[in-house]
Amino acid sequence: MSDTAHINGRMFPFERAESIYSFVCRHLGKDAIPVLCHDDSLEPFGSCRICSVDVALSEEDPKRVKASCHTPVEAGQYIYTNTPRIDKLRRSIAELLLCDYPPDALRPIDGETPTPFQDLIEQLKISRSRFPRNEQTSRPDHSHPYIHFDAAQCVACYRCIRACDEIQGEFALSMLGRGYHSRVISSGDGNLKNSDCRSCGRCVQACPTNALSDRHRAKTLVPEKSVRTVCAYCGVGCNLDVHLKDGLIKAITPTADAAVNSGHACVKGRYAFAYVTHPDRLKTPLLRKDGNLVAVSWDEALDYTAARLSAIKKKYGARAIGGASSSRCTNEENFLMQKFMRVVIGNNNIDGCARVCHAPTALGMRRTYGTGAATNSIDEIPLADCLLVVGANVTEGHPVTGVKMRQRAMKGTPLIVIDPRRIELARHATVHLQLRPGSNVALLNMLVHYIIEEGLVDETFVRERTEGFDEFRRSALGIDLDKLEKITGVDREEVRQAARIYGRAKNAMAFHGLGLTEHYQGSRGVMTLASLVMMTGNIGRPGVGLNPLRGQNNVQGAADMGVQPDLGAGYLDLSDASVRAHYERHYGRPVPGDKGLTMPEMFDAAIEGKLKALWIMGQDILQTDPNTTHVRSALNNLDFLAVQEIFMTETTSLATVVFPASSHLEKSGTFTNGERRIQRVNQVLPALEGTRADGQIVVDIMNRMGYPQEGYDPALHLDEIAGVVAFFAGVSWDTLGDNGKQWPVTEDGKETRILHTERFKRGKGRFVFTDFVETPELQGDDMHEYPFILTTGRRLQHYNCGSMTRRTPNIELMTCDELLINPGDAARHGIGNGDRVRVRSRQGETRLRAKLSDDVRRGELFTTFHFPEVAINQLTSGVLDPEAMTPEFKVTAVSIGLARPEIV
Amino acid sequence: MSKNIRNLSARQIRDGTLFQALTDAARKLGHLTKEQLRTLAEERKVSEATLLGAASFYDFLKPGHGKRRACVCKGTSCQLSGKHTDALRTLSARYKEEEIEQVNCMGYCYSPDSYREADGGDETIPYFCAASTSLFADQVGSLDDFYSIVLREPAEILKELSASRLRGRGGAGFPFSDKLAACAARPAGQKYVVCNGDEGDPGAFSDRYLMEEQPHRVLAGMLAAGITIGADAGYIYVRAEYPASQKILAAAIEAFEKTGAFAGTGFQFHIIRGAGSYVCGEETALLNSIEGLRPEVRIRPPYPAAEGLYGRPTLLSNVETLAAMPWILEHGGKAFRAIGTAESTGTKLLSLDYGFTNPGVHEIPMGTPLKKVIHDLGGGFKGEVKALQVGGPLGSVVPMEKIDNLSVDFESFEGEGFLLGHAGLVGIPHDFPMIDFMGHLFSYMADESCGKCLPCRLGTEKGYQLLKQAAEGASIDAAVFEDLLETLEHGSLCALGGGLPLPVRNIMKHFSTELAERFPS
Repeated sequence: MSDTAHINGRMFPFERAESIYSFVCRHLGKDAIPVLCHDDSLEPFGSCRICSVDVALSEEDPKRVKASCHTPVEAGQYIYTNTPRIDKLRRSIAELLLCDYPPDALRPIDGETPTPFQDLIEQLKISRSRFPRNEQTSRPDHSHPYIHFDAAQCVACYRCIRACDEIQGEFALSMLGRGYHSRVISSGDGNLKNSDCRSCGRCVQACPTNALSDRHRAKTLVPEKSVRTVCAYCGVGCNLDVHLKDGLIKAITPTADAAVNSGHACVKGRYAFAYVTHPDRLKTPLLRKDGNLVAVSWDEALDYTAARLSAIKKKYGARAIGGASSSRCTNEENFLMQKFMRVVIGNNNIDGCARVCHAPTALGMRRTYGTGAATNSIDEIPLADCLLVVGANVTEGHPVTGVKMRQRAMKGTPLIVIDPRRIELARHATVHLQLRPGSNVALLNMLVHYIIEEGLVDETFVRERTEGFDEFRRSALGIDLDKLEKITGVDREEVRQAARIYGRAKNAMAFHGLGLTEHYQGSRGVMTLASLVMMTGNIGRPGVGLNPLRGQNNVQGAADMGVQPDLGAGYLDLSDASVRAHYERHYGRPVPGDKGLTMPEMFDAAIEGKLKALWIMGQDILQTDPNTTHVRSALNNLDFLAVQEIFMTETTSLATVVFPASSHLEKSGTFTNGERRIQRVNQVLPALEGTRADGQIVVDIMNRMGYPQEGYDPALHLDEIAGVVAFFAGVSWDTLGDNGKQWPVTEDGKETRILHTERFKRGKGRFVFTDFVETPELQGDDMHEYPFILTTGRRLQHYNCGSMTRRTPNIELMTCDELLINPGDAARHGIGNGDRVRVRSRQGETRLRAKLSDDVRRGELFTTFHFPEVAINQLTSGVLDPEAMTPEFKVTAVSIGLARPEIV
Repeated sequence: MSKNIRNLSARQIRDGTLFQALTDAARKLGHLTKEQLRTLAEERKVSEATLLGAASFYDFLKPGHGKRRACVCKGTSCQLSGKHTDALRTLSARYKEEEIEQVNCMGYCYSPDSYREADGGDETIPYFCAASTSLFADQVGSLDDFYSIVLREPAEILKELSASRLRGRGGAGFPFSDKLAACAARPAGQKYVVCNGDEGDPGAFSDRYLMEEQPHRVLAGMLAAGITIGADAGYIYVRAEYPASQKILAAAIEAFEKTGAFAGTGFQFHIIRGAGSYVCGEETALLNSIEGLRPEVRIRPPYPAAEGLYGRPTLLSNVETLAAMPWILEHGGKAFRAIGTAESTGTKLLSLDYGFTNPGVHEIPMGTPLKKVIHDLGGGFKGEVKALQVGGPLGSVVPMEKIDNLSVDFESFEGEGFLLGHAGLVGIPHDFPMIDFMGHLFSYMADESCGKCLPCRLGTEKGYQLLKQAAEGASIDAAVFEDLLETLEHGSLCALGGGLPLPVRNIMKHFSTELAERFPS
């Protein structure tokens, strides 16, 4: 028997286990067989039977009707796609559907494209139904701000239910009842808005009719233009197709063939774009005159800024000026910003928002592996036999990656979650090590201890690829388990179980987020985790490694571009004269070698009066950096504060000059996602009138301050970066392609999917053991006054300071920051669900609404920092990781009490 | 079929199946509350929608079921005989409307009454044997001795079963040893035996007879199948409408667990108590039901032998098929083959309803002339009958003038354009309008369709509407009706929609004169 079969009399080769549908479409084209319930991104389901074909074992044998979507091809089979009885069957099924269908929904709305169902009806040439009609009585559900459901147009193909299950993994949808009267429901058959729906919109995309549609009519929109670009809402780097009409963004859909997200997105990426045209957008530069910010021309603002900076530099020296770059901006903009500080201002006082998130990762991984970047790629998740997630609420912070993990965990891949909170992923965890906030190093030490004790060390890997293990082993075996068990609050046997699962897995893949880094011992936690990964040999092949999940869209890129005070573009140490010579060759100006100031150091310097001017590109540090009072005094103490922003924020309110910037949809450039993938951001809209790209604003000042810099042009800057940064050697705008490239990219343009395959970047991997040290935040004579630990993070619906997402209908999905409190604690303090609670720390006090939840343990609280009304960072402490200088957002000692109503 | 929900469900199987957790929760209050659904969803790591979707599928989990104090059968036999109407009249004098629940066949087709109060009691089902040897009726005696019959090497069991040429008694007549061999050939690992005791066909009660009168034969058959394929657990799915079967099987399992056979094999039996849905008798819907998914029909392949319960290789067979195994292993496959015809070997249990003079379960050798069954064994009908429904609503309708040509075996029925099915026999009274009978068939299927595939979901409902209009005097466009039947026949995902056209066509062919007015040419 050969592996060929016949389609309509012609012979074709087929692939193993291929369905008849796929076989036919591969040879005769996508339209050869009509479908309704079939969706290439979902498992075959076989409910509509529209795809039926006639099949026979030989030309003489009787034909049998088979649904082609789920019937495998057999060798020598005769397949007939359009016999009269097949045509009739398809038409009859369509006719049965049609008889109850709302007549006005059979044709596309004027100016819209037909739905797949309308296309099918057209293709089968059905105009009327001969069957008796049942009147529809359902009412459309418009409760949800984005997703609308009209049951009358439902054809019961289950595509929405399957998409919610097989892709998003939420099970928010199901069928109710059975037979003809069964219908799609969300959760407990209430409305969609109050259901478990996470608003990813994948059901709408899957629905072949307008039963499920969205407020943007994305499915049937006829755009004038569609532009592929990259989402700016987190470090996953989803590709999005932005659809334009009449010069406006009408809808966004995730790019179907994108390597990163293959047709999936979250509620932010797909829906939250209304901020771009929000009336609050800044459209003109503002300059503080007589205490007020007033609109001025670009020339005035730029001239003024150049003059002030020059004057401050002249009077106080270059070190009196600092620059804060932004992980929200492009690589090219970050490159320009650090170049500006280094060669135009003349110091290394350049830092970025990575300081408040992943600087400990950069430091910790550089010290152990040689480079602070993800070792592997997200699409290897299905190859892992164990997933370890440390301090990352992935389904909310990195939704598209999070649902990929959840899909594996639900199908049986062991998942270990280390998190103080019962995050969504913890539900499907094999082991959830629910540690006390701030005790990561203690817990990870227990974990490495048990890896050794259980004999799970990969001795060969350790011998051949690493150094310092003997000392590490000694220290790890010497830990005081009784003490650590008490500190972490985690039963040692659970840790042992986790060690066994992780250590025995053939391929174990580790991920971490800010729950590991934003601590007093943040970088030490990263080093311990990096050691755990090495000691089990989980490095250098698919489905393993250590993979930091980057919070903002270009955290990786900003650091790569030199946005840190000690390392220039490409992480070269500026204290080295040959490095400086390298930069000077490219920049044409001397580059300073003294280490500059980190952000927290800049605040201190400002308060001390040493730092006089600060330039901030796209950050709302007053809302998002810890200890607001401290930051406010620092900013108030400056002589000059320039801010580039798209909206007025807490920070701009203190600025001397505000530059209106273009949003990421209004400019081009590149972002580098959390797996080192450099992707093209393509300009979708012309810059809003009055705004300029952040990079152009920097260029304008560079030129005014006497450095001839060509105008913002990503292709041009990328060429320069390729010369300066070794791992960008083969990167150019034109050759990046639609899916980008993962660095290092060699000169011939070859990308690198997995790092440290043969040897570590630093040669041998280095083990680092650190004893647990309690954070100063939880020590002191006044601890009894602050019996609770407050930890902060973010939610799915909002992004960071919320300036963008709060200006979209996402606000209807999450209206305020809430304080998660264990019901036991709430009862003890007389706090009910929804009550206003006063939360006080050593630094400050705020009030917010309580939400009773078992997801937090007794003595612990959780909230978010999306809303300026709550301004939770008034409370967070000034404790820093002493090496990475990253603030400890995740641990604040607080007290709580019911807020008196009159104060509300 | 959701792989995710299946996997999540499989992981907590030690706490009982997800489906059983649903039915147990419902039993507490008589129905499921939102709070219960949420708690269970949290425990089982699924969602409220998932559980509500599954629960809402079943008649006995619907709100209102908890108020039930009496049950009325609206199955075919009870409707045709008028027992259904009588029962409603009797009960409405004693109970409020919401306390009376109408169900699709309780397996009392042989009995003069078509209702039961509370759960009914244990009842003896009349049994007659027309075969020289009975496979099923012998008393089991010592359990240790009885179960030791099946403690044989897998290869030996396969050999005997192959020699017996036993064919599946659920209706399809698939060679049983092929199924066993296919499961046995799967790589070792977790495998399951599942016994389909969801005897939903109105008019059939032979499985009920076996489960209640001969539970150990059923269990021993499952054990034998388990030994053959390498499974250590067996699930028996029993209809909610058969509470006595559930009770008796539970006691039998307890007794089994005291035998040496249990000590030696450790084989675990589990009873799954259904919740009121006919389609659960379809094998893949039944598997979904156990797993706690909506009991919608799965695509095939994969077949249960490869990917069955919880995705593991599963031998899934009907009660009567499995119950035949002990006899075959005791007397040899050849002895079994000596009974019946060359292609249809062994005996067959027939269910004769109350319309016969001798209603009850009749064990006959395959190949027995139908005429003999009706007149000699059944003693003829109590009233005048114009046709016989054989094998339930998805079997066939045989006009009286055809019974002379038929014998009770797969080949004879197929040759004449009929289907033996599960072999329940119900007489259709001479004065019962065939248009109403067709309406009954369509209404039943519309009621019980899982709703997954469009031909069955829509075709059963629209067909029922056409027939209802016709029963009220309208005429039906024969071409439209024929298109509908073809759509059901060729398009349906399973036999529920696909099997409906056969009895309908039987009627249209053999009663064309009676129907002429409804289907004008």
